[in-house]
Amino acid sequence: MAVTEESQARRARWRSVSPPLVWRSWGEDEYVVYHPDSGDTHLLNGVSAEVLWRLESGPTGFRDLTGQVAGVMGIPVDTQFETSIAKLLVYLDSVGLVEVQRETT
Amino acid sequence: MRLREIPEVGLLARCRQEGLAWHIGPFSVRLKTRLREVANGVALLYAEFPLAEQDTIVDAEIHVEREAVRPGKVRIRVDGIDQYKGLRRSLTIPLLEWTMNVCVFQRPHEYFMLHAAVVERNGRAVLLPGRAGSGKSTLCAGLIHRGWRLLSDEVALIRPGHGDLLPVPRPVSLKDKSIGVIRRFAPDAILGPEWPGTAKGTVAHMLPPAVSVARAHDVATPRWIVFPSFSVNAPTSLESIKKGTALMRAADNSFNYSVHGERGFMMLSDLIDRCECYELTFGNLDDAIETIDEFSTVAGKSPTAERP
Repeated sequence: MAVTEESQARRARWRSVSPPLVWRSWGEDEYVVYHPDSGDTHLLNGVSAEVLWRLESGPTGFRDLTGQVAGVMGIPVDTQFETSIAKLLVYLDSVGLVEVQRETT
Repeated sequence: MRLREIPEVGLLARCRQEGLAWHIGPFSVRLKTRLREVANGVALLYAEFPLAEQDTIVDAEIHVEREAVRPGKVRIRVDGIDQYKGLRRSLTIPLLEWTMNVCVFQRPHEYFMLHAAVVERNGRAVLLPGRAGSGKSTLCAGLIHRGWRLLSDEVALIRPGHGDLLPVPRPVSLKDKSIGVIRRFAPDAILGPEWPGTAKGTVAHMLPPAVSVARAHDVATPRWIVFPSFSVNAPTSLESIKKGTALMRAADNSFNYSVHGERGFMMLSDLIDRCECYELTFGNLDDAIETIDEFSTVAGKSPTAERP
């Protein structure tokens, strides 16, 4: 089930979907990904691409994810940045590019 | 043998009996009709096209006939399935042309297809993706009267595994004011009758130049993708667009991107790789053509511009 609230996004551990996305870029701060399961194609900016790359490396909690992305971008993690990443995750979840890693018991 | 070489009597006899079959690039169609004006209309628009052997297995068999219960109305069937019913007889030719579009666009999924006009010069092609009203057909019609070869007015056809564009030269469909624009721009252009009252307004078909039809098997290399945007009185402007954006817009103009799945994505990405991508806003045909001539000529002279 997709996460629809930013507050939920901040508490979740995130992962990329499978099968892996198919990437293309032309070095213009635009990235295009094809999602084999849905057949959808998405145009991403640099931040969205960075988030997806991080999650393709392995499931990551929200706080670690924001820290890693901010580090790459060379900006501090502040409330505004966390909010933008939370909104981004909610969006990427809604289009099926990422998902919450559910706890197993 | 070409359609224009068949005498009128023989033409109608063929249409009424075994059918009139001809080639359009990699495709072939067969027309069966008892209606003289339909046979003559096709003979005019496809005069330069090569006839197919009568036993050719065609891609589509098109029947145009009067409706039994409404003799003033016409129906068009493709392979036995109704495409149009209850047509006004006076609009049969433009509707037959749209039927041919359907035959080309909806069937051959062995090809990747973009809704785009395609013209070529020196082996390198410009793709003009766009929907109705974008100025695509007008620009295409103008370019082919300024030294460019017509590959298609409607579809960029790419065979998987090859990056080149296959020609599908057919009559160029002009609408409303663009008919007058092309008559003034290219007085030597041959246009068929004007058909007022269609769903798209008044339509006239410009015959493809004979050289384009004769070279219907000469592929071309995609080199530029230009998204045209016609706006009345707009100054001509050419803007480079990012390739990711171009891919998304091209996908939006594809007839069968989703059918090909991941392979479609890879083919479209490869196409974008090979092309410079622009948006061309124009309100004047001469200026727009001059702009395309300029960047294509400059690119032709620059060794670095040859790199994909």
